[in-house]
Amino acid sequence: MKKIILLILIIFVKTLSAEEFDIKKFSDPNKYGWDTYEKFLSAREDLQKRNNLLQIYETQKQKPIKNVIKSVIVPGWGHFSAKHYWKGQILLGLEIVLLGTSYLYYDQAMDIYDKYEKATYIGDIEKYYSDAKSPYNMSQVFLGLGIIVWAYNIYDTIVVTEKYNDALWEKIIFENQDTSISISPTGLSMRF
Amino acid sequence: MRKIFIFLIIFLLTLSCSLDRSNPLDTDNYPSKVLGIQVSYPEDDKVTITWDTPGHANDDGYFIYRSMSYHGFYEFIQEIDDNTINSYEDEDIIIGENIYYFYKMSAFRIIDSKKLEGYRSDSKFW
Repeated sequence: MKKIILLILIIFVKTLSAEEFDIKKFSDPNKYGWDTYEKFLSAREDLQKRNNLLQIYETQKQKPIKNVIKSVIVPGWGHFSAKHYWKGQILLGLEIVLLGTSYLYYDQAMDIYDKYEKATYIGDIEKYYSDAKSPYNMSQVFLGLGIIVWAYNIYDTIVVTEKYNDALWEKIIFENQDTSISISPTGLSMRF
Repeated sequence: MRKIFIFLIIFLLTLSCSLDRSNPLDTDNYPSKVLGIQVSYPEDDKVTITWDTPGHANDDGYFIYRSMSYHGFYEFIQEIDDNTINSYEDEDIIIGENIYYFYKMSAFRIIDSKKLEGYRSDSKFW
């Protein structure tokens, strides 16, 4: 058994050391396009600049989890934080309407259900139970829709926060570029 | 597609919650209707009501209601706490022209110290 383990170990170590480390390839400055020292300096400067922008971005970007928690507590709050006011207002309004309607139906159902619980005549028992079922089912429908909107609100908070962060990054890049006119694959942009 | 499926499951789960039938008196085994009710013509300022007792061996008694019109409000007038009794004399009546008394009856059963009343009978009058 020991021999087999030793053999496997040898084969494993042999495989690992099969590719030799190429020091020439590693230290070749041309692989990054730094043909001259000036190009190297320019690349370094560009890297530092991007690093600074990244730091600005890191301080200003929003964490999706933070907005998700907000949206869990109050639907639409995460959207407001991510500056998607319209969506936030629609989701909050929709949630209020759906849950409010659900509550009204539930309250109506419970009024009748109380009578059902107190009834002693079989005719009343059947009638009140049947009467309570209809508003109760309606309250369940609106609650279900409310839960769906609430779940969508949480999901969409992640999407809008990512959009916000993307827009923020583009804004930072745009505001910190040297020239007033720039051409990018997405189009022409101009700063005033 | 997966999102719609998840939302649909949430929706159906919510709908599947139904109202509990929590009333202890809400049972399929309720007292049956009182049959064979007969109301006698008023005699000596009283009306005698009789009914069939078979079929009420598991019940604990009867309720009697009275109204002065067929579709009117039937007032509760008497509780009979013995399922073997099959008659009742109503002495609280006024005899006169165009005065009629309509009666309805039901059997009751005691469940958890509460009286479960079965369906009321059809109206009978003298």
